[in-house]
Amino acid sequence: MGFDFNFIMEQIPYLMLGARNTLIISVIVLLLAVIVGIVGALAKTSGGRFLRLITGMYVEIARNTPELVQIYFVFFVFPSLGLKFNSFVSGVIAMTFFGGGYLVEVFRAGIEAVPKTQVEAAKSLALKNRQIIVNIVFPQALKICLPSLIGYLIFILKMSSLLATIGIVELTFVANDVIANNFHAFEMFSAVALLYLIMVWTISWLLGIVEKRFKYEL
Amino acid sequence: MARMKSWVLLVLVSILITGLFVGCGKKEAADQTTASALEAIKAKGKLVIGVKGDFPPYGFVDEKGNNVGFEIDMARRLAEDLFGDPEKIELVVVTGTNRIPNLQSGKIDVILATLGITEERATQVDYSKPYFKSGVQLLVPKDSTIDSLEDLKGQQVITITGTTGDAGLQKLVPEAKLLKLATTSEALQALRDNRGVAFAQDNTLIYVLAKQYPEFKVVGEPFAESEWALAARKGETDVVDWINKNLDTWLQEDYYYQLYEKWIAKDTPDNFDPSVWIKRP
Repeated sequence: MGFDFNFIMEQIPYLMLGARNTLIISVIVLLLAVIVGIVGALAKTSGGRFLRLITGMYVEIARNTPELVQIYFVFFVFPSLGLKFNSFVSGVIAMTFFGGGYLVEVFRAGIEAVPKTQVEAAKSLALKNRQIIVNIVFPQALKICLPSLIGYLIFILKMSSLLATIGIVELTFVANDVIANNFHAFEMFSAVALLYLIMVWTISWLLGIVEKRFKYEL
Repeated sequence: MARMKSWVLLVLVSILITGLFVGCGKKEAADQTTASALEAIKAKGKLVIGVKGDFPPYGFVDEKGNNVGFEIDMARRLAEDLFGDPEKIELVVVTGTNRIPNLQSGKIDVILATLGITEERATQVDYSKPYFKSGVQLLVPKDSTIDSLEDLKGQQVITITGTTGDAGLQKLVPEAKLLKLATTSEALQALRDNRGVAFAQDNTLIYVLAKQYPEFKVVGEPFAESEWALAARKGETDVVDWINKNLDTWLQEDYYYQLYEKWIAKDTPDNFDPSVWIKRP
């Protein structure tokens, strides 16, 4: 079983297409999931009873059903309900759904870890509720939850490999597609694993810089 | 100490050389038997044949644990021709990956296991005449206007990764966008949801699906065709000649059609013409 390096060189354009699509879909999903996570966390911590119940149910479903089942659900079940999206949009919806679910809990934990005295001090200064959340609680919460947030963002990026099952031409799909025709599993999966590593390292490095800045600013 | 080491080395080298000679000797012996490979099978008293065990209706295992199917019947007729008894046969279940190694290592005499003729394989084995022909066709919804490969240009088409349908379509209609999925059930669901205008797959499967799910129909001429043949070890021409003689007889008798009626007809749509797959006199 030799390692055919030339074979990988031939496949580089296709691998790059896969890597590009993995990045595009991951970035879109990460942004959407962060929005869902923040909104959900606020609803869960300071929303009314009904809002808390709804968000709680969403988080339970999103985190406690397999990611692959959610992807299949959007792709194969939604059309019977009259909601047909192409592979790409289906993938973004499903990943935002479970990614958002995880991030709601991440942000909630951060918000709840901000000392009560901070809120009380803000109230005594006659700040409005909105001001308290945006200017006092949220920045501190973000600082607290940043390390686990980075972990979950990387988790979401890696989960994009599941989208190969609904025919999105991302990195894992490229590997499977080439292997199915040329049987170079060793080469392809090595190349793909390396590319994922590079992407994950880049993202953690960038977020690491953000994390350091936060430490100084607050 | 140094002298001891060179002594060990000497022994090792001599063992290697002896091994080399013994190996060559065996190879020569094998070459001699190929001159009358058919006689060797006769002397053994049974035909050892590699068949599929998981590919209904061609070669599979029934509920009683017996090997049965289209190709198994062919195998038994070969034994009958050679020994006058269809039971003088040993069926060895092989897979797509191990069938040629099994033949080359002498575990089986002949492959009769949905083996398609390819140039690459022809360097490894000697093929008989083909007995079956499969190709890729399109499964489309009943009301579809898709009629040929031409109609697929610019359209989304469903395939299964790594199949002949997938590779063939990429080559013949590069303008088509492929939605590549992993399983037949996923592909059918996607076709139902109109995620693609057609599902391209081997017609041995497509016609069965069309029979099973009347909302679909099969269209288009078969492409990326593959002919199935028996295979014997490279150089065993007397075995291949003997198989070909039998295949000729079967063709004249319309035996392939009898096998089709027995094994496949119940799974194909009404008015299906089996000449897509088999030759008739």
